[in-house]
Amino acid sequence: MKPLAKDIDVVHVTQPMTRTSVVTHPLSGHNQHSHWQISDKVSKDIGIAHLRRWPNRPMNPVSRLWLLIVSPGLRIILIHRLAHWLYLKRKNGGKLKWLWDAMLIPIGLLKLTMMKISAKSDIAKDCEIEGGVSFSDQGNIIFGATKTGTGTVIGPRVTVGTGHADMGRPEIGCNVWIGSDCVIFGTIRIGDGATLLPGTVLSKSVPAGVVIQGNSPRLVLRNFDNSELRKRQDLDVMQYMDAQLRN
Amino acid sequence: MFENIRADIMRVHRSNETLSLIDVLYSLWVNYGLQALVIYRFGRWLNGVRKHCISWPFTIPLYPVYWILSAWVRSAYGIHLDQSANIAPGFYINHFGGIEIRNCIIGPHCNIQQQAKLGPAENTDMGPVIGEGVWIGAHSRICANVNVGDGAAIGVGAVVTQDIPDRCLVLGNPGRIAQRDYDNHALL
Repeated sequence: MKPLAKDIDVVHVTQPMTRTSVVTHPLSGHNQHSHWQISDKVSKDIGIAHLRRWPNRPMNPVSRLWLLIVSPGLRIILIHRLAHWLYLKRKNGGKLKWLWDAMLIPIGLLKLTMMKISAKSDIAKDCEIEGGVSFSDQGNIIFGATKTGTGTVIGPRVTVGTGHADMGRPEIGCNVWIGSDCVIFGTIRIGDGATLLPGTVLSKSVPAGVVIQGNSPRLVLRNFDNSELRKRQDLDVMQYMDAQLRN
Repeated sequence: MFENIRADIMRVHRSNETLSLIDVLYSLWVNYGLQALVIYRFGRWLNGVRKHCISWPFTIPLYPVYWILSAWVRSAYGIHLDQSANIAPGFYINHFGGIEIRNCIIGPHCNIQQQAKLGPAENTDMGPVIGEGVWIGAHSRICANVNVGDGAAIGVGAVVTQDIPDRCLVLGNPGRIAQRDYDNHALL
Protein backbone atom coordinates (compact mmCIF):
# COMPACT_ATOMS: atom_id res chain seq x y z
CA MET A 1 0.00 0.00 0.00
CA LYS A 2 1.40 3.35 -1.03
CA PRO A 3 1.47 6.01 1.64
CA LEU A 4 -0.44 9.21 1.07
CA ALA A 5 1.43 12.27 -0.13
CA LYS A 6 0.62 13.99 3.17
CA ASP A 7 2.34 11.22 5.12
CA ILE A 8 5.48 11.48 3.02
CA ASP A 9 5.65 15.17 3.73
CA VAL A 10 5.32 14.57 7.42
CA VAL A 11 8.08 11.96 7.36
CA HIS A 12 10.36 14.28 5.48
CA VAL A 13 9.80 17.13 7.86
CA THR A 14 10.07 15.18 11.09
CA GLN A 15 12.99 12.93 10.22
CA PRO A 16 15.84 15.42 10.63
CA MET A 17 14.31 16.78 13.79
CA THR A 18 14.00 13.42 15.55
CA ARG A 19 17.46 12.24 14.58
CA THR A 20 19.26 15.20 16.08
CA SER A 21 17.82 15.41 19.52
CA VAL A 22 20.54 17.78 20.72
CA VAL A 23 19.85 20.39 18.09
CA THR A 24 16.06 20.34 18.01
CA HIS A 25 15.89 24.10 18.63
CA PRO A 26 19.31 25.52 17.79
CA LEU A 27 17.95 29.03 17.34
CA SER A 28 15.57 29.10 20.29
CA GLY A 29 18.32 30.37 22.58
CA HIS A 30 17.75 28.78 25.94
CA ASN A 31 20.03 30.43 28.44
CA GLN A 32 21.61 27.32 29.86
CA HIS A 33 24.48 26.80 32.22
CA SER A 34 27.95 27.22 30.82
CA HIS A 35 29.43 24.02 32.29
CA TRP A 36 28.23 21.72 29.55
CA GLN A 37 30.23 18.90 28.16
CA ILE A 38 32.41 19.95 25.23
CA SER A 39 30.68 17.40 22.96
CA ASP A 40 27.30 19.03 23.56
CA LYS A 41 28.68 22.39 22.55
CA VAL A 42 30.33 20.93 19.46
CA SER A 43 27.19 19.14 18.27
CA LYS A 44 25.20 22.32 18.78
CA ASP A 45 27.78 24.28 16.75
CA ILE A 46 27.60 21.77 13.92
CA GLY A 47 23.80 21.80 14.03
CA ILE A 48 23.56 25.56 13.77
CA ALA A 49 26.18 25.78 11.01
CA HIS A 50 24.33 23.07 9.08
CA LEU A 51 21.01 24.88 9.47
CA ARG A 52 22.50 28.15 8.28
CA ARG A 53 24.34 26.69 5.31
CA TRP A 54 21.80 24.18 4.05
CA PRO A 55 18.38 25.11 5.50
CA ASN A 56 16.44 22.47 3.57
CA ARG A 57 18.84 19.54 3.72
CA PRO A 58 18.37 16.70 6.23
CA MET A 59 21.21 16.31 8.69
CA ASN A 60 23.19 13.06 8.72
CA PRO A 61 26.73 12.06 9.75
CA VAL A 62 28.05 12.33 6.19
CA SER A 63 26.73 15.84 5.69
CA ARG A 64 28.15 16.88 9.06
CA LEU A 65 31.59 15.58 8.11
CA TRP A 66 31.36 17.31 4.74
CA LEU A 67 30.42 20.53 6.57
CA LEU A 68 33.61 20.26 8.64
CA ILE A 69 35.62 20.19 5.43
CA VAL A 70 33.86 22.96 3.56
CA SER A 71 33.05 25.47 6.32
CA PRO A 72 35.96 27.55 7.70
CA GLY A 73 33.63 29.25 10.18
CA LEU A 74 32.81 25.93 11.82
CA ARG A 75 36.48 24.95 11.76
CA ILE A 76 37.66 28.03 13.65
CA ILE A 77 35.06 27.67 16.39
CA LEU A 78 35.95 23.99 16.88
CA ILE A 79 39.67 24.78 17.04
CA HIS A 80 38.90 27.48 19.57
CA ARG A 81 37.03 24.94 21.71
CA LEU A 82 40.10 22.71 21.65
CA ALA A 83 42.46 25.58 22.53
CA HIS A 84 40.12 26.82 25.29
CA TRP A 85 39.91 23.33 26.78
CA LEU A 86 43.71 23.15 26.82
CA TYR A 87 43.88 26.63 28.37
CA LEU A 88 41.59 25.55 31.23
CA LYS A 89 43.63 22.36 31.77
CA ARG A 90 46.89 24.32 31.95
CA LYS A 91 45.34 26.91 34.24
CA ASN A 92 44.10 24.28 36.70
CA GLY A 93 47.48 22.54 36.72
CA GLY A 94 47.54 19.17 38.48
CA LYS A 95 49.51 16.00 37.90
CA LEU A 96 49.50 15.96 34.12
CA LYS A 97 50.83 19.48 33.62
CA TRP A 98 53.72 18.28 31.44
CA LEU A 99 51.22 16.62 29.10
CA TRP A 100 49.17 19.79 28.67
CA ASP A 101 52.34 21.82 28.10
CA ALA A 102 53.43 19.36 25.43
CA MET A 103 50.02 19.57 23.75
CA LEU A 104 50.59 23.29 23.16
CA ILE A 105 52.67 22.43 20.09
CA PRO A 106 50.14 20.40 18.03
CA ILE A 107 47.20 22.59 18.99
CA GLY A 108 49.25 25.73 18.31
CA LEU A 109 50.17 24.43 14.87
CA LEU A 110 46.53 23.55 14.18
CA LYS A 111 45.51 27.05 15.23
CA LEU A 112 48.22 28.64 13.09
CA THR A 113 47.35 26.77 9.93
CA MET A 114 43.59 26.35 10.16
CA MET A 115 42.53 29.45 12.06
CA LYS A 116 45.14 32.12 11.41
CA ILE A 117 46.49 31.42 7.93
CA SER A 118 43.49 29.69 6.37
CA ALA A 119 40.68 31.82 7.82
CA LYS A 120 42.75 34.89 8.89
CA SER A 121 40.91 34.85 12.22
CA ASP A 122 42.11 35.00 15.77
CA ILE A 123 40.12 34.06 18.86
CA ALA A 124 41.67 34.72 22.28
CA LYS A 125 42.18 31.49 24.18
CA ASP A 126 40.32 32.63 27.32
CA CYS A 127 37.03 33.48 25.56
CA GLU A 128 34.07 31.61 27.03
CA ILE A 129 31.82 30.75 24.10
CA GLU A 130 28.62 28.79 24.69
CA GLY A 131 27.42 26.16 22.24
CA GLY A 132 25.67 27.14 19.02
CA VAL A 133 27.69 30.21 18.08
CA SER A 134 28.19 30.70 14.36
CA PHE A 135 31.18 32.47 12.82
CA SER A 136 31.24 33.67 9.24
CA ASP A 137 32.90 31.51 6.60
CA GLN A 138 34.73 34.50 5.13
CA GLY A 139 36.92 34.93 8.19
CA ASN A 140 39.03 38.00 9.07
CA ILE A 141 37.52 37.90 12.56
CA ILE A 142 39.51 39.12 15.58
CA PHE A 143 37.50 37.96 18.58
CA GLY A 144 38.18 38.65 22.24
CA ALA A 145 34.83 38.82 24.05
CA THR A 146 34.89 37.46 27.59
CA LYS A 147 31.51 35.69 27.30
CA THR A 148 29.32 34.88 24.33
CA GLY A 149 25.79 33.44 24.54
CA THR A 150 24.12 30.74 22.44
CA GLY A 151 22.69 31.52 19.02
CA THR A 152 24.99 34.47 18.38
CA VAL A 153 25.96 34.96 14.73
CA ILE A 154 29.17 36.84 13.86
CA GLY A 155 29.81 38.20 10.39
CA PRO A 156 33.03 38.63 8.39
CA ARG A 157 35.71 41.23 9.22
CA VAL A 158 34.40 41.75 12.74
CA THR A 159 36.66 42.94 15.56
CA VAL A 160 35.63 42.36 19.17
CA GLY A 161 37.85 43.48 22.03
CA THR A 162 40.72 45.95 22.32
CA GLY A 163 44.36 46.06 21.48
CA HIS A 164 45.15 46.67 25.12
CA ALA A 165 44.06 44.29 27.83
CA ASP A 166 43.78 47.00 30.47
CA MET A 167 40.98 48.75 28.57
CA GLY A 168 38.55 45.89 29.16
CA ARG A 169 36.72 43.52 26.88
CA PRO A 170 33.07 43.22 25.86
CA GLU A 171 30.51 40.64 26.85
CA ILE A 172 27.94 39.42 24.31
CA GLY A 173 24.52 38.02 25.20
CA CYS A 174 22.44 35.29 23.52
CA ASN A 175 21.00 35.51 20.01
CA VAL A 176 22.95 38.61 19.01
CA TRP A 177 23.38 39.18 15.28
CA ILE A 178 26.60 41.04 14.41
CA GLY A 179 26.92 42.13 10.79
CA SER A 180 30.03 42.48 8.69
CA ASP A 181 32.74 45.12 9.40
CA CYS A 182 31.51 45.75 12.96
CA VAL A 183 33.92 46.85 15.70
CA ILE A 184 33.01 46.35 19.35
CA PHE A 185 35.40 47.47 22.06
CA GLY A 186 35.54 48.54 25.70
CA THR A 187 34.07 47.12 28.90
CA ILE A 188 30.52 46.83 27.61
CA ARG A 189 27.64 44.37 27.51
CA ILE A 190 25.45 43.67 24.49
CA GLY A 191 21.97 42.57 25.52
CA ASP A 192 20.21 39.40 24.36
CA GLY A 193 18.75 39.53 20.87
CA ALA A 194 20.44 42.79 19.85
CA THR A 195 21.17 43.40 16.17
CA LEU A 196 24.25 45.30 14.96
CA LEU A 197 23.83 46.24 11.31
CA PRO A 198 26.94 46.15 9.05
CA GLY A 199 29.56 48.82 9.70
CA THR A 200 28.69 49.60 13.31
CA VAL A 201 31.39 50.85 15.68
CA LEU A 202 30.13 50.30 19.20
CA SER A 203 31.76 51.30 22.49
CA LYS A 204 28.73 51.60 24.80
CA SER A 205 26.43 49.01 26.34
CA VAL A 206 23.16 48.31 24.55
CA PRO A 207 19.94 46.81 26.00
CA ALA A 208 18.22 43.66 24.75
CA GLY A 209 16.38 43.51 21.44
CA VAL A 210 17.54 46.76 19.83
CA VAL A 211 18.89 47.48 16.35
CA ILE A 212 22.06 49.63 16.17
CA GLN A 213 23.58 51.15 13.07
CA GLY A 214 26.35 53.50 12.07
CA ASN A 215 29.79 54.73 12.97
CA SER A 216 29.02 56.84 16.01
CA PRO A 217 26.19 54.37 16.63
CA ARG A 218 22.49 55.23 16.53
CA LEU A 219 19.51 53.25 17.79
CA VAL A 220 17.28 52.36 14.85
CA LEU A 221 14.58 50.11 16.32
CA ARG A 222 13.50 48.60 19.62
CA ASN A 223 12.06 45.12 20.28
CA PHE A 224 13.24 43.73 16.96
CA ASP A 225 13.09 39.99 16.30
CA ASN A 226 16.29 39.02 14.49
CA SER A 227 15.59 35.27 14.17
CA GLU A 228 15.24 35.54 10.38
CA LEU A 229 18.64 37.23 10.09
CA ARG A 230 20.27 34.57 12.23
CA LYS A 231 18.60 31.70 10.41
CA ARG A 232 19.46 32.69 6.86
CA GLN A 233 22.98 33.18 5.56
CA ASP A 234 22.03 34.33 2.06
CA LEU A 235 19.68 37.14 3.08
CA ASP A 236 20.20 40.62 1.61
CA VAL A 237 20.40 42.43 4.93
CA MET A 238 19.82 46.03 3.83
CA GLN A 239 16.82 45.06 1.69
CA TYR A 240 15.36 43.01 4.52
CA MET A 241 15.90 45.81 7.07
CA ASP A 242 14.33 48.38 4.75
CA ALA A 243 11.24 46.19 4.48
CA GLN A 244 11.14 45.78 8.26
CA LEU A 245 11.53 49.52 8.88
CA ARG A 246 8.68 50.33 6.46
CA ASN A 247 6.28 48.06 8.34
CA MET B 1 67.88 47.87 6.46
CA PHE B 2 69.20 46.32 9.66
CA GLU B 3 68.89 49.53 11.70
CA ASN B 4 65.26 49.83 10.64
CA ILE B 5 64.46 46.20 11.49
CA ARG B 6 66.23 46.65 14.81
CA ALA B 7 64.04 49.65 15.59
CA ASP B 8 60.93 47.65 14.67
CA ILE B 9 61.91 44.79 16.97
CA MET B 10 62.66 47.29 19.76
CA ARG B 11 59.18 48.65 19.22
CA VAL B 12 57.64 45.18 19.59
CA HIS B 13 59.48 44.68 22.87
CA ARG B 14 58.66 48.22 24.05
CA SER B 15 62.18 48.73 25.36
CA ASN B 16 65.40 50.55 24.53
CA GLU B 17 67.74 47.96 26.01
CA THR B 18 69.86 45.56 24.01
CA LEU B 19 68.11 42.39 22.87
CA SER B 20 69.38 38.84 22.86
CA LEU B 21 69.16 36.64 19.77
CA ILE B 22 66.47 34.50 21.43
CA ASP B 23 64.29 37.59 21.90
CA VAL B 24 64.67 38.54 18.27
CA LEU B 25 63.86 35.07 16.96
CA TYR B 26 60.91 34.67 19.33
CA SER B 27 59.37 37.99 18.34
CA LEU B 28 59.84 37.10 14.65
CA TRP B 29 58.08 33.77 15.23
CA VAL B 30 55.16 35.19 17.22
CA ASN B 31 54.59 38.58 15.62
CA TYR B 32 53.11 38.26 12.13
CA GLY B 33 53.20 41.99 11.49
CA LEU B 34 56.95 41.96 12.14
CA GLN B 35 57.45 39.22 9.55
CA ALA B 36 55.63 41.29 6.96
CA LEU B 37 57.62 44.36 7.90
CA VAL B 38 60.98 42.57 7.64
CA ILE B 39 60.08 41.37 4.15
CA TYR B 40 59.00 44.90 3.20
CA ARG B 41 62.34 46.33 4.47
CA PHE B 42 64.19 43.66 2.48
CA GLY B 43 62.40 44.75 -0.69
CA ARG B 44 63.15 48.42 -0.01
CA TRP B 45 66.80 47.55 0.50
CA LEU B 46 66.88 45.66 -2.81
CA ASN B 47 65.40 48.67 -4.58
CA GLY B 48 67.91 50.95 -2.85
CA VAL B 49 71.05 49.07 -3.90
CA ARG B 50 69.84 48.74 -7.48
CA LYS B 51 71.56 51.97 -8.52
CA HIS B 52 75.01 50.50 -7.82
CA CYS B 53 75.80 48.33 -10.83
CA ILE B 54 78.37 46.33 -8.90
CA SER B 55 75.69 44.78 -6.69
CA TRP B 56 73.59 43.38 -9.56
CA PRO B 57 75.12 39.87 -9.67
CA PHE B 58 74.38 39.45 -5.96
CA THR B 59 70.94 41.03 -5.78
CA ILE B 60 69.30 39.71 -8.95
CA PRO B 61 68.83 36.19 -7.50
CA LEU B 62 67.29 37.77 -4.39
CA TYR B 63 64.38 39.35 -6.28
CA PRO B 64 62.42 36.08 -6.73
CA VAL B 65 62.93 35.39 -3.01
CA TYR B 66 61.37 38.73 -2.18
CA TRP B 67 58.47 38.21 -4.61
CA ILE B 68 57.64 34.78 -3.18
CA LEU B 69 57.88 35.94 0.45
CA SER B 70 55.77 39.05 -0.10
CA ALA B 71 53.13 37.09 -2.01
CA TRP B 72 53.03 34.58 0.85
CA VAL B 73 52.56 37.32 3.45
CA ARG B 74 49.83 38.94 1.36
CA SER B 75 47.88 35.72 0.95
CA ALA B 76 48.49 34.16 4.36
CA TYR B 77 48.17 37.14 6.69
CA GLY B 78 46.39 39.69 4.49
CA ILE B 79 49.06 42.36 5.17
CA HIS B 80 49.88 44.25 1.99
CA LEU B 81 52.81 46.67 2.49
CA ASP B 82 53.42 48.03 -0.98
CA GLN B 83 56.92 49.12 -2.04
CA SER B 84 55.56 52.56 -2.95
CA ALA B 85 54.94 53.28 0.73
CA ASN B 86 57.74 54.94 2.68
CA ILE B 87 57.65 53.63 6.23
CA ALA B 88 60.05 55.06 8.82
CA PRO B 89 61.64 52.78 11.45
CA GLY B 90 59.72 51.79 14.55
CA PHE B 91 56.51 50.72 12.82
CA TYR B 92 54.23 48.30 14.63
CA ILE B 93 51.41 46.17 13.19
CA ASN B 94 49.09 44.91 15.88
CA HIS B 95 46.92 42.24 14.25
CA PHE B 96 46.71 40.79 10.78
CA GLY B 97 44.03 40.80 8.09
CA GLY B 98 43.03 43.37 5.51
CA ILE B 99 45.89 45.86 6.01
CA GLU B 100 46.73 47.80 2.85
CA ILE B 101 49.41 50.49 2.72
CA ARG B 102 50.50 52.10 -0.55
CA ASN B 103 51.78 55.45 -1.89
CA CYS B 104 52.10 57.13 1.48
CA ILE B 105 54.75 58.47 3.86
CA ILE B 106 54.63 57.27 7.45
CA GLY B 107 56.73 58.81 10.23
CA PRO B 108 58.61 56.95 12.96
CA HIS B 109 56.94 55.11 15.84
CA CYS B 110 53.52 54.70 14.28
CA ASN B 111 51.07 51.97 15.17
CA ILE B 112 48.53 50.30 12.89
CA GLN B 113 45.81 47.73 13.46
CA GLN B 114 43.86 45.21 11.41
CA GLN B 115 41.67 46.20 8.44
CA ALA B 116 43.24 49.69 8.23
CA LYS B 117 43.66 51.07 4.73
CA LEU B 118 46.15 53.83 3.84
CA GLY B 119 46.48 54.98 0.28
CA PRO B 120 45.64 57.48 -2.44
CA ALA B 121 42.12 58.26 -3.55
CA GLU B 122 40.96 56.75 -6.81
CA ASN B 123 42.77 57.96 -9.96
CA THR B 124 45.35 59.95 -7.96
CA ASP B 125 49.00 59.31 -7.13
CA MET B 126 49.75 60.64 -3.68
CA GLY B 127 48.38 59.17 -0.49
CA PRO B 128 48.46 60.51 3.06
CA VAL B 129 51.50 61.95 4.83
CA ILE B 130 51.51 60.76 8.41
CA GLY B 131 53.59 62.31 11.18
CA GLU B 132 55.45 60.92 14.12
CA GLY B 133 53.90 58.68 16.76
CA VAL B 134 50.44 58.36 15.20
CA TRP B 135 48.07 55.66 16.42
CA ILE B 136 45.82 54.36 13.64
CA GLY B 137 42.92 52.26 14.90
CA ALA B 138 41.30 49.17 13.48
CA HIS B 139 39.04 49.44 10.41
CA SER B 140 40.09 53.07 9.84
CA ARG B 141 40.59 54.41 6.33
CA ILE B 142 42.83 57.27 5.18
CA CYS B 143 42.37 57.30 1.42
CA ALA B 144 43.15 60.90 0.41
CA ASN B 145 46.14 63.24 0.12
CA VAL B 146 45.94 64.63 3.66
CA ASN B 147 48.46 65.50 6.37
CA VAL B 148 48.10 63.84 9.73
CA GLY B 149 50.03 65.66 12.45
CA ASP B 150 52.44 64.28 15.03
CA GLY B 151 50.92 62.40 17.94
CA ALA B 152 47.43 62.20 16.45
CA ALA B 153 45.11 59.27 17.18
CA ILE B 154 42.82 58.02 14.40
CA GLY B 155 39.99 56.29 16.21
CA VAL B 156 38.50 52.88 15.50
CA GLY B 157 36.53 52.86 12.25
CA ALA B 158 37.31 56.51 11.40
CA VAL B 159 37.40 57.67 7.78
CA VAL B 160 39.76 60.65 7.46
CA THR B 161 38.99 63.12 4.66
CA GLN B 162 40.65 66.33 5.89
CA ASP B 163 43.98 67.49 7.34
CA ILE B 164 44.45 66.63 11.00
CA PRO B 165 46.53 68.91 13.28
CA ASP B 166 48.97 67.63 15.91
CA ARG B 167 47.68 65.70 18.91
CA CYS B 168 44.05 65.30 17.86
CA LEU B 169 41.62 62.41 18.35
CA VAL B 170 39.55 61.70 15.24
CA LEU B 171 36.37 59.64 15.41
CA GLY B 172 33.47 58.66 13.19
CA ASN B 173 32.58 58.43 9.53
CA PRO B 174 33.21 61.05 8.10
CA GLY B 175 36.02 61.77 10.55
CA ARG B 176 35.57 64.65 12.97
CA ILE B 177 38.02 65.95 15.53
CA ALA B 178 36.54 64.72 18.79
CA GLN B 179 39.21 66.07 21.12
CA ARG B 180 42.16 68.43 20.73
CA ASP B 181 45.37 68.10 22.72
CA TYR B 182 44.80 64.36 23.15
CA ASP B 183 47.60 62.28 24.64
CA ASN B 184 47.92 58.96 22.77
CA HIS B 185 50.90 57.79 24.80
CA ALA B 186 48.91 55.02 26.49
CA LEU B 187 47.72 53.63 23.15
CA LEU B 188 51.12 53.42 21.50
